[in-house]
Amino acid sequence: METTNKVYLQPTPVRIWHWLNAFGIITLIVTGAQIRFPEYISLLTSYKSAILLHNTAGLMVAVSFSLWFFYYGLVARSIRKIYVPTKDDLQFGILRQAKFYLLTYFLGWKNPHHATPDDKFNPMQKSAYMAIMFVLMPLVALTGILLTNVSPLRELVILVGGLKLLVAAHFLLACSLCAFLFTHVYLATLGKTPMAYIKPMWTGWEEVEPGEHSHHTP
Amino acid sequence: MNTKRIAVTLGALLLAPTTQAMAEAGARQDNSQFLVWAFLGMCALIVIVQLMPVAVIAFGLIKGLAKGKETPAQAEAATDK
Repeated sequence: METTNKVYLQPTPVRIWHWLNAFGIITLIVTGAQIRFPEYISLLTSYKSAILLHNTAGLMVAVSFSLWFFYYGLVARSIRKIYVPTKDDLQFGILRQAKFYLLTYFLGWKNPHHATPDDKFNPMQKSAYMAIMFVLMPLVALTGILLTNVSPLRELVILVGGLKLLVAAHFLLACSLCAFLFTHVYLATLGKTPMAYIKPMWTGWEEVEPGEHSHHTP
Repeated sequence: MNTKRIAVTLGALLLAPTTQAMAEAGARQDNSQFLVWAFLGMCALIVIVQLMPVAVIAFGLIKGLAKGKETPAQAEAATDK
């Protein structure tokens, strides 16, 4: 009889952050699309509703981002270990992982990266998440804060190039995050079964076969 | 018969404009607050559902600790039963 071991891969604060972030970002995309293209998209009842919900969701995502930073940076103190790629990751790891995603996955090969609670992400994930969590997210939040407080922060808005530039930057940053979301969801389905990587993000536990380390995490 | 017909016509004439008034009131209704509360409610639900296993473990621990604090006499009495 085949037995499976379980590895506790995703602690509670990380799971809460992840799902709040997911729900918040989807809400931001829907409301943001209506705010940007009101003549084409009217999923919510009114323009005012879209703005109010967008601002609330933005605030919630910023709060959950703080929770993520507080947990990894101050509680677990593993932010550097988990998110910053090593020299080996940059020299060989990224290519190895890209080869897996583009070719060897379709030939049935195993994932070259074995996730552990201290080394959750493969080299490609590390690079992508570093750009997202340390560049895109802070910038999209910062531009969002400026856009929601134009009057009190008028001088700062002018300093960064004016309202038009700020709106364009916020929109382009949001488009980048949206593009990542699709990739993220696709890669999340590349496990043994389509739900194999999604389930641990909900329960915290990943099932691994005996004598094998845990794979993945998208 | 004629009186009945006149009454129905008058009633219809009187009630007809009210449907328009009701429609306008509906159009003006702003449900942005409701959407915000629904969003926050969903967020709270995510947090509660994720914290549930922690709560169950904590409850079990407290229960276990409370059991462990039984005096030797109490434990002896329980085994005698």
